Amino acid sequence: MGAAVLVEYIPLMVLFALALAVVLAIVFVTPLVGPKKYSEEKMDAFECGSDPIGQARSRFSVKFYLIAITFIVFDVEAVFVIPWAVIFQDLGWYGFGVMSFFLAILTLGLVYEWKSGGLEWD
Amino acid sequence: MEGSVPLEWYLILSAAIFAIGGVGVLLRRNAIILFMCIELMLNAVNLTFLAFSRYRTGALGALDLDGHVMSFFVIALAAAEAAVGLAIILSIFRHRRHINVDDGNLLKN
Amino acid sequence: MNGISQISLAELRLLAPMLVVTVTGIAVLMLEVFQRSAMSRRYQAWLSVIGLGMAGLDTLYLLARGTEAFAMSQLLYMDGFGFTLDLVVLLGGALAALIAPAYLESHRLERGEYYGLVLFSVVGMMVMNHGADLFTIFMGLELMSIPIYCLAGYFRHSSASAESSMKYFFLGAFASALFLYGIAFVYGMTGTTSLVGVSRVMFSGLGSVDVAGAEAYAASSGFVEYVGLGAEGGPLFALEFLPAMAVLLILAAMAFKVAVVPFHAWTPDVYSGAPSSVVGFMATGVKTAAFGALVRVFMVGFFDQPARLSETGWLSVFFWLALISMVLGNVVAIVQSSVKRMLAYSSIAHAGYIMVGVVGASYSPEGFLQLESVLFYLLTYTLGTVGAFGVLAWFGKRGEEATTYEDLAGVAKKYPGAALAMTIFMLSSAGIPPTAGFMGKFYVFKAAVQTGETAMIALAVVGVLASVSGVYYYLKVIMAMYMKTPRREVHGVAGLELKTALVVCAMGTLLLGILPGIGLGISRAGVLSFLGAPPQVRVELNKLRAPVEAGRAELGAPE
Repeated sequence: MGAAVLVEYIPLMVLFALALAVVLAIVFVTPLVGPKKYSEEKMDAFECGSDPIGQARSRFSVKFYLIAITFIVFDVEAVFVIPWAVIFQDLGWYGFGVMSFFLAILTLGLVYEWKSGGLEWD
Repeated sequence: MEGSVPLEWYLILSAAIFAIGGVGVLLRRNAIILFMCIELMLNAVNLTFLAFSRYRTGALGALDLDGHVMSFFVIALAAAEAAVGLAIILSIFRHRRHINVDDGNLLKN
Repeated sequence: MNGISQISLAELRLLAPMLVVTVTGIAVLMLEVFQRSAMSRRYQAWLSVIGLGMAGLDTLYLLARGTEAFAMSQLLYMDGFGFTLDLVVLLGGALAALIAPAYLESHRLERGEYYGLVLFSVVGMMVMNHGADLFTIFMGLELMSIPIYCLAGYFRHSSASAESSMKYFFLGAFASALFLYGIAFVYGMTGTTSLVGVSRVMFSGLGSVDVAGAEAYAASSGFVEYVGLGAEGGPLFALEFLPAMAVLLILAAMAFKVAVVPFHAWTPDVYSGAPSSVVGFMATGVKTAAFGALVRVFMVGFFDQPARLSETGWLSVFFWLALISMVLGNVVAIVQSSVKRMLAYSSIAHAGYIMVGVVGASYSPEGFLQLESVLFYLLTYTLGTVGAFGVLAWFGKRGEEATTYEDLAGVAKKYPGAALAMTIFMLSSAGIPPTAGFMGKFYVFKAAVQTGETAMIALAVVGVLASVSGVYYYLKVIMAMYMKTPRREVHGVAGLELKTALVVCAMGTLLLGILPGIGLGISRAGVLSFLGAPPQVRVELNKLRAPVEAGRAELGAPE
């Protein structure tokens, strides 16, 4: 083992090098060669062609955070469910029972969240 | 395991990521960035687990999936920590209107 | 069904205490969301206490029967050591639940989540107490910590509470990451995370009694090739430092949780910002579970000679941690003007005293029984500390808490009961007879002295001196309550629950001070059935167990 056997990774390195070169070229060469004509319209913030409204850095409502927090928690259950689903025939009824128990507890969490108003938007 | 990346490389990479995360936690002040650094550390650990697991399965020929299982648990745990951490950051923001860790210092005498 | 190990009913029976607490926690949460919001939550405190009490009774039953078994595919040791720690943790949880109702009402934060979080945290602590595998211990640690992060920030209207929660969260998550990285290295080196497996593989042929077994295990796990003795994959670079680093990472995370110097910096900030009832629970429960896990990890996983006794072995690290914690904790506590911060530094000093017991017990296999002093100390510490924070919760008002010595001035005139209880707790924390704290300190220092080693005796002497200097700031609290005149009206809110908790703590403290045999007997029973003990320790324990078991057989008690 060692560096000698890593030959097959060379194309990947070439790809990386090319990508880097292209990016550097676009970023640094274009301003040098391209024409520069400024106008007020051009320097304005671009908002789909219409006149910009409000600040570019507006704050999101806290409610989005609440949804995000909820999403994270219920999203990760997939980490446990997918491996079970892949071999669920081998695991049989026992595996089904265990997974149902796991999901039942999660459901209780959902019930708690629902009843305490975590899913209300207003 | 001809042509595979040796274990050491994974370990060096994960140690580097872990160190970046660790230094970030100690030096940065913005709570969200601190939080991302913690996630970085946990993911570096995941990488270590997976690298060892793969090495033991491949090079040593012992079917060893423990590392994979552990990284699942770490992912679930990181999510739980994320939920609680974000909630804590939100409550700090409500009081202070910013989320810098060492400002205010209400608790210092 | 190929190769799936199913959970048997017998295993579930042993897990009954944990399951009862879990179900109570879920029940409390469900009741909270389905009840009318105007209704009182007082019954939830009692429900939690009933759940914890049932779990405690069952734990006592399992302990008395001398249960020793593995559970959940050898991930948990269901042994006396774990059950004894469970009792302490359950007691701490029940007291934290009892202190809360009046306190939360007076802060207008009466919500059932408090009890749910306490109960879930208790489950995490119990998992840690029984952990037979580094990863189980880690999961327990998280299950314990995450609810406590929330509890620390429970006073939503208080900026200090939110800040304390954030500090605890970030440092706690950092420590968890260190712990995990340590586990990852242990797993990489040994291919297992089970504590017994780790000790067999990591130290094979390095002083292990069961060398043949270790070698067979190493061969089957591929460890022999792995360290580079003819490895196909080549030797792992710098392997010599990997075990040390793994041990160090795990040690740092544990030291953070028990709050010993130099991993203590978070303690005063977090304790002074968090709600008093939570701090009492956090100081005692977390310490108990973390010390339980620490003892288990180091005694089972890393007990062998070079890791423990060499110049840089963990025993000498523990020695220094104990020494500086005792000295620094006591010295810094003296200059505090806030009672909560003073108690935080004193809790660091207490962690140092407990560490002395751990050091004494792990010095030689013969001294292993001295671990009983650690269990006993944790019990006395729980009673005294939860009680002290309970008294602080009594005098907490909405918006402002009783935190300074002035806030306690003149308490004795208006609330003689509270002052008397606080006096008992302070005397116990200071280690003055006839309180439990004195007996706790006595046994812990005895554990260090019985080794006969000069350094250990010196450690005990430093401990005694440090605790004598600690008397000063504990007496200051008593002086404030009895001698000083208050600048403003003393005001306290206490319910039946809080008073019950304080009576239990005070009576327990006095009882264990006068008749320490009760607590010590349980602690000894716990240490004698320590599963996973290394072979050389097992030999010693079996010598001591023989008469006990003969007695049990004579009485015809069930096995």
